Amino acid sequence: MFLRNLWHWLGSVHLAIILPALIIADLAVGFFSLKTHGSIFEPLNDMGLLTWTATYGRHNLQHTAWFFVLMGLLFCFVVNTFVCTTDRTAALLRRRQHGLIFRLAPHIMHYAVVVILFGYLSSYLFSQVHGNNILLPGRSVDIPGSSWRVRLASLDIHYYDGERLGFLTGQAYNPDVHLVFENDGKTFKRILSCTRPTWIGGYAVHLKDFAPRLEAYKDKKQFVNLTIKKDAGVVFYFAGMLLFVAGLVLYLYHWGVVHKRRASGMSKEGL
Amino acid sequence: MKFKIMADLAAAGLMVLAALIGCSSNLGESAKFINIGEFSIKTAPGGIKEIRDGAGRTLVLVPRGQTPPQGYAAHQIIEIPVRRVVAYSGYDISLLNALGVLPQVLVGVTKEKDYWVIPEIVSGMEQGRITYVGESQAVDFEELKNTQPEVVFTWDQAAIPILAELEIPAVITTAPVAMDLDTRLQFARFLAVFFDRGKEADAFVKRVYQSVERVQQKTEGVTERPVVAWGDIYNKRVKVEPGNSWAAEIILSAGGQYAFDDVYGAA
Repeated sequence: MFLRNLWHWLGSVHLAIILPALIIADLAVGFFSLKTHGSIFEPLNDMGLLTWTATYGRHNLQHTAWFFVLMGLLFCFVVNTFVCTTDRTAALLRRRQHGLIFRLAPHIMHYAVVVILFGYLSSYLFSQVHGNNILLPGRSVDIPGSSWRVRLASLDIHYYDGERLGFLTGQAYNPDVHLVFENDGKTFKRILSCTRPTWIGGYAVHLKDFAPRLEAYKDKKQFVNLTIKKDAGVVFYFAGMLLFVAGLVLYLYHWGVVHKRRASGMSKEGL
Repeated sequence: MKFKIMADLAAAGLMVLAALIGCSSNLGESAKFINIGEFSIKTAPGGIKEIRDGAGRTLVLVPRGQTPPQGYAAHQIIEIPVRRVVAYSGYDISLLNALGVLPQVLVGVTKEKDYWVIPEIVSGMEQGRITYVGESQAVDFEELKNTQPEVVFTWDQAAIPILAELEIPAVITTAPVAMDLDTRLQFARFLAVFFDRGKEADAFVKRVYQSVERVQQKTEGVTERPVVAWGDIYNKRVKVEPGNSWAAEIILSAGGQYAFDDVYGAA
């Protein structure tokens, strides 16, 4: 009885309204905390959630409490979404109505959100992050824990020379980092830029920093700083996104085509 | 009923959080941790310290004679107290002076003798104890190696791979975002762990804070607050300190208004 009550309460619509409101309020606090104490959260990207919690998180609780509250709220939100969706899905499956798959579409999207959030948690809990791999042109570094080696072949930095955004004149806006990956006698070429990471052998390679950033210094030393990640959450992100897209396509089809047919059928009947 | 369930959930959440924190401390209960802006120091039993520099790189400080922990490359291990230092930044060198270790430890700089006004550096260069290793953008790494530094304090990330090849540990002493006043001052405590000069660092921080407070008290009643900008003038370019920098805070403390108070970013 208790478990049934708990299950119903966890899937209640009231909770589904209260939780997003609490999340928004908590994120508002987080916005100001990040603005004034962003450096506390920076290491979270490479040291993982557990180590960060034990160090920066625990020792700066007045600035990080909102983050732990957010995790708790997101956990409740995931539970609420899961319970609510499972209830509805079970009811639909029991009824076995015509067009069942289309009726399941919103619930497929809800499950997708749960999978994506689980992916985020996996990323922060289980990812291997090798930060600060600084490379000069022609030099290479080993990717720790693997037989891969990465070399900076060349760095082409594009500097802004347009007229519309005068304040950006002479500033780097698009670095093309030409990398060569070597493993077991084979080489693979990849181009990396700020918003375009590359994947190789299960590793994601991100551009953290580069120089020179000003055209005036373009004759000075070039370097790139790479972050290399083996991200445990990527599989879940992609699975979640595919599931979401599948749910969305089914939903739109149902909404656009089936409803239209019904509407036209009804109008014919009316004639 | 609902409140009871909510209380149960909150208690469960706290238990999960406590478990997360308990499980994650791989240095044990006696481990200590402090962070100063981007920089941090984690002390393990036995006096070994794991530090994180301004670029987020991890290095380990090992008391002399003690076996370094496994899993660190040679260029990540620094024996403390450090005896020989090459430093790029004038601020780092001034802090070495404040910690009272400059004459004993500084062996290399990136500015020629004429640049310096600190008597210990001028005399050190005259006597050959301190070597000019080239300008910061064109360091002569052979000359730098000849000074046999145990650590290099630098802001130049491009120097890291070369120093790593030479098996010389390097610490990035600047951060991607401008340091505020507290971080700028507390940074003395970060440098102090390399030389076992914690007390000197505490005294320095206290002294400077007292000076800042004195100035604040004097300017408290000032009605006319001039607008001030702080920056460096280069050929065709002026670089200013952002509103989140220590420079902006100093101007506010001194009774001024900072002209770029609304700008956030790097120093």
